[in-house]
Amino acid sequence: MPNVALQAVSRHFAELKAVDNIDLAVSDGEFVTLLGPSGCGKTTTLRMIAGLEQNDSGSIAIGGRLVSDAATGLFVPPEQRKLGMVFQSYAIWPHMTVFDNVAYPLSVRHVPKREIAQRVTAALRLVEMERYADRPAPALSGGQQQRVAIARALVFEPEVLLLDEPLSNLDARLRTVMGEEFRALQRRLGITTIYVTHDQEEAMALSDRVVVMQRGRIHQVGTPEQVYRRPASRDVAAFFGTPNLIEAIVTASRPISNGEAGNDEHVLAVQGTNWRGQCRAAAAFGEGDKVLVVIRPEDATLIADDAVLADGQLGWRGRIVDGVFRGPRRSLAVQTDVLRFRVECPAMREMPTGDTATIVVDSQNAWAIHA
Amino acid sequence: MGSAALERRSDAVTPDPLMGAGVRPAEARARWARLPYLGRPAGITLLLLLLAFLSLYPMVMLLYGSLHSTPPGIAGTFNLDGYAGLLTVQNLQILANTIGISLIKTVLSMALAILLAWIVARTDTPARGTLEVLITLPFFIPPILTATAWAMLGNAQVGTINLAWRWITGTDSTLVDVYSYGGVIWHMMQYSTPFIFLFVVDAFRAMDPALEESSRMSGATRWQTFWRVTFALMLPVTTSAFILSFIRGMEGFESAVFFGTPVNIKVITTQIYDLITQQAQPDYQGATSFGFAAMALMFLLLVLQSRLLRRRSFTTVTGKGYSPNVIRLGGLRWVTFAICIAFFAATVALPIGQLLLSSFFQFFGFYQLDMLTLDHYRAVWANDEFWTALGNTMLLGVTGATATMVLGGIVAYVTTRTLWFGRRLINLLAWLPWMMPGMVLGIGFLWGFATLPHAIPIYGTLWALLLAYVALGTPVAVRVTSGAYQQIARDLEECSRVHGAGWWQTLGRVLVALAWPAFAVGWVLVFFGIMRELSASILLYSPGTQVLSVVMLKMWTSNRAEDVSVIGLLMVVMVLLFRWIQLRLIKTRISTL
Amino acid sequence: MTPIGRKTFLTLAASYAVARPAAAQDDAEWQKVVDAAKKEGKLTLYTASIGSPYLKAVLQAFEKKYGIRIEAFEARASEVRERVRIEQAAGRFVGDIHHNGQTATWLMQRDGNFQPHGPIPNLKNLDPTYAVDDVRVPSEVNSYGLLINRNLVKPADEPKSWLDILDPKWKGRILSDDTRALGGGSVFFVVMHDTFGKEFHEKYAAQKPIFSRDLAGNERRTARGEFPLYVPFLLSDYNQIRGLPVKPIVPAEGRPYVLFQLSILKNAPHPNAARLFINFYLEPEQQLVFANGGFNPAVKGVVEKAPEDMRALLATKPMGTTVPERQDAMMALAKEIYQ
Repeated sequence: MPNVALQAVSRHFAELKAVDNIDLAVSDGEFVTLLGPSGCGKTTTLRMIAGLEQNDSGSIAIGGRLVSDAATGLFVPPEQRKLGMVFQSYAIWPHMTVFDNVAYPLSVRHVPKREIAQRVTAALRLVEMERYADRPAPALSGGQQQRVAIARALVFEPEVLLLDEPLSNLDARLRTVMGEEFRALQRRLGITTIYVTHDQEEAMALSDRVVVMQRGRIHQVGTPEQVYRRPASRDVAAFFGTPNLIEAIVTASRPISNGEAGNDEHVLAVQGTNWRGQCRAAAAFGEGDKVLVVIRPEDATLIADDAVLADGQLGWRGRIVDGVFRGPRRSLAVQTDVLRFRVECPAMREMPTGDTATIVVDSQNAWAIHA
Repeated sequence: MGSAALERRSDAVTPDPLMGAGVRPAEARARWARLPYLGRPAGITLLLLLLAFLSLYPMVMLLYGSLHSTPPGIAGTFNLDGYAGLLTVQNLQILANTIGISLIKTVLSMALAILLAWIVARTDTPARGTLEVLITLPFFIPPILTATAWAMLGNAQVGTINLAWRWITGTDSTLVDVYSYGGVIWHMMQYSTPFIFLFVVDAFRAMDPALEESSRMSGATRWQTFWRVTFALMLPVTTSAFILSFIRGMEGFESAVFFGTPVNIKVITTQIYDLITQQAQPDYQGATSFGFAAMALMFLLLVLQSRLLRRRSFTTVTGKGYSPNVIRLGGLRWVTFAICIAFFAATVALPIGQLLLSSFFQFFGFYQLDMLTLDHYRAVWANDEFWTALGNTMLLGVTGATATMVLGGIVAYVTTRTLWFGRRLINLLAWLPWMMPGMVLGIGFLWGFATLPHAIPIYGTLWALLLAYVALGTPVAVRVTSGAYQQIARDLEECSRVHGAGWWQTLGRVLVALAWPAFAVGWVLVFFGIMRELSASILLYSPGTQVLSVVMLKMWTSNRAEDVSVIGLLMVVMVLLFRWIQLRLIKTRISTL
Repeated sequence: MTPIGRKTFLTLAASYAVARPAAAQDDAEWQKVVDAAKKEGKLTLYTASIGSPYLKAVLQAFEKKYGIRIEAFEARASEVRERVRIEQAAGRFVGDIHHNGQTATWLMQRDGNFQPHGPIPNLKNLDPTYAVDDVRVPSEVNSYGLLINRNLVKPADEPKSWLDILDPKWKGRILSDDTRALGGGSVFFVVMHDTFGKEFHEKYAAQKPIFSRDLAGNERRTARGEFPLYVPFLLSDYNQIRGLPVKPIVPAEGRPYVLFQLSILKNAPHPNAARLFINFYLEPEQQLVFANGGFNPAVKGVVEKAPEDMRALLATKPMGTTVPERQDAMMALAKEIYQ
């Protein structure tokens, strides 16, 4: 049974459809991330789950209990949804101590004092903040405030934990650390979590599943690998990194099984400008269909100009026009007939600009989507 | 996917108290907590009804009075004579005069108040805690007393200031004459400066320093930052204070009647006073029409303010924690210190000193050793009416101020932090009483309460006074609290709701808890407003329920001004006590930051 | 005094004269009133005399003598009147006795706020100068004179006549109640107008008097030397400023005055107590309290018992008073003369 279920949920702000008819089911204990650029409706969706916004249509259920149904006018206020939430600003109440902040969800529910002390201490220990219990909240650093916010969200043992871009106010290093701690904690507690972010790396590193949203709609739901490697649309593909998108026409299509039931793939033979080869796709295509072939820069390798392509490989010839050294990697731009191809390769390799080379891609890593 | 999650969960059987404790308390409470929520329309209706009764009802009585040839209860006809009678050149002059006086005094007070508030809240000026108490003192002194004191200090003939001036300069020129426009404005400023100060000082304190720092980092000078960030962020508070003060200036009576009337300076209120009390047949139609004309004008101001502030965010208290920037002034801090002391000396030390001194002499302003006496203190002490009235006033003040702050806090919440249907109406209703001059509104309450069905036991009881006081105090309460609310980030509130606190709990534990310095200020303002209120009190009190302001009027009119000053001093002591406690509480909070 | 007032008074006085032989019967009748009043046990007084220690003394004496508790509502004249009016219009009959100046009572009489007081024994004590009718009973009299600052005005310069204040030497130096407003200023205006004609006021306006509304403060301002002369001075304020360098004067023409009157309010809940109270108020003993306080008593033979300096002020000629019927016209005239 899904722990959080959204059915045909919409939310309008005047003319703007902030959230447009979305369906989503989050399983018990699952970590799901709503990912998308700002204004895509991810935060609004989260706030509707929280009960901070009311959906104009559709229904929301948490833990099997209907909490909001636009059709019947049912709306359970946020405080009765048994949630924990971490806000982007942390929303640490400045007039309370760390202890009081964390104790709040318990004390407003009239949990006995002794139990509060126990549970708050436990929650603070969980985020390694027990030493700071008596500090006034404003005297904390950003990372500490973040931990307090998490402890507060967890202390009541919520049915669902909601996180609204919780890491966006932290510096890069702390963000990674906090993210990892966070994920470990979530796994340990097995708590259903919905996480909102615009940061794709964060989303992929933390989530069981990623929900890619754009302009109020869900574009794709899948594991991080699925949405990364097998994007459903150009938008989804473009949201993760800067993939190379190459126009082509389908010449043949046949299904193959990758061993998982209901997750069949298709192998397409495609023809592009001055190139041809095979790639994979989520669905069958007809002969003559226009597709875009998605190739991740890190999946491309450069070989000597005159090397011969092996079977199952795609290749383009071009000239290296730009190179940026990034420490572990080197980002190259290769001008081919069809496009300016982005290639990531190990930094150790010397690649002087001006050289010509052949870009080689394993056809398993070439993914076709509707043009 | 789902099965994997379940497996993981079964792995995670850690003996963690987090997982062990039950959720029963919430389950048990859920049903009860939902009741008020489902009752939102009912709650709004209730709020609307209450406000309509408190403010609309007396207004409707007055409107009837302005459109009817006779006051309620006497046969007459409906006509527009009251309004037609306003359209004279003299009345237009009076209107212009009133606006001019009020505008000048408000602008001057605003500038002074902002300077003082900045000094107290944001600089390292010595003794600023004490200064804060001292600066606000003049507001709490009954105007009749400071007027008397200033009449003694600043009259052109034998005023103390002029005598000193003549003695110093050796001429017989006159330095000041309080019986003038300047005198009227100066006397008003003594009240409006602390009033505005009280409004803005906490806004200065509750400012996330990052907002200012980022301006400095963007290349703005300290001065530019002050105007374009600090001041701009405080717009809801400052404009509210400005408008409240401006309106109060238009409704000000004591200053004009004391210092204006003798030199033929007329304002709306003195004109209304004349219409009601200074002719054989009180012209209630004319007076109420005048009141409504003034009200229409003030209403325009409110519209202007809401336009100005529309769709802008003034959040300065965020969930990230803050402590205000204190600017180190170096040697300049003694200059700022001197400014505060000068203000205190001019508005408090001079007039109050005069009162204090006078209270030990047989007569005001006659300092002869053989007239030294404690009789006035004895007279007040032995006056049983005074003690009854003090008891009543304290009861009304404490319950009234508390009730007003509760109502004001709710109204402010609904109008500033929700999108509920009807919130604009609620806001308007809460404003109404402020826009009607007190002496007209008092009549509205009298008419309204007296004509209620006899089964409703309000008229002639303390309830009548209490309800009138709540209505009169609500506008201030709403302004003070909504200014504070607007500075609190919405996250802090939403976070509370998500973590299990209901609407009331959130209001109390987060909003009020964060805005409580503003609540405390509002409470004190309302409390002392109640202590001073006369216009409605004298029409609504009954034998046995008389209040301090009525007793003071009795003393005043029976030529016992010295006894009044004893009570005035008592009120000053009370203010000091209140403010001291309040600031101590604030300080304990700030020192923990 | 108006012709009507005098006629009414004479009729009433006659009725008592005729009733003389049946005095014993009257006494018995009155005893019934007294008994009924005590049974009522309570009396509510609406008065425009605010904070008066003399009124308070009389009230306490009454409570002590009859054991009837008095609750007093004190407010300014127009406020008392409006309160009575709206209460009666709303069917709330709370007040028993109304005590106010003659202008307000005249208006209220016209509006039907009172009921006749019926026979009251002590009406026979009344000074015939002051009008009485079957509704309004004179209670005490506010009389006006002048006040001078003894330090600033030499004895030779003291005004002896009201006309002396028109002397150019006072120009710009007179503190005055506003002649355009109800109260002392208006009384002064009407009486001077009726005595000396309109020219008096034209000349007085040319003196550029300083009008002030702060009546209580004016005497002190005079005493402090802001002004040498204050016009008109309410004699009943004299006790409060004894000891200051001021001197009250009643000029040769006499004193303008205003009557305070007692009336029984319509549907008074305690009508017998109200009658008993009026009767008590007119006892010479109570009237002396007012005479000592600087009010002219409403009954005969009391002024003579007042202390020497008070007597000198009060035992003077009653010069005239306001006439409610002409009040509006006179105020309009005042506004015309004093721009």
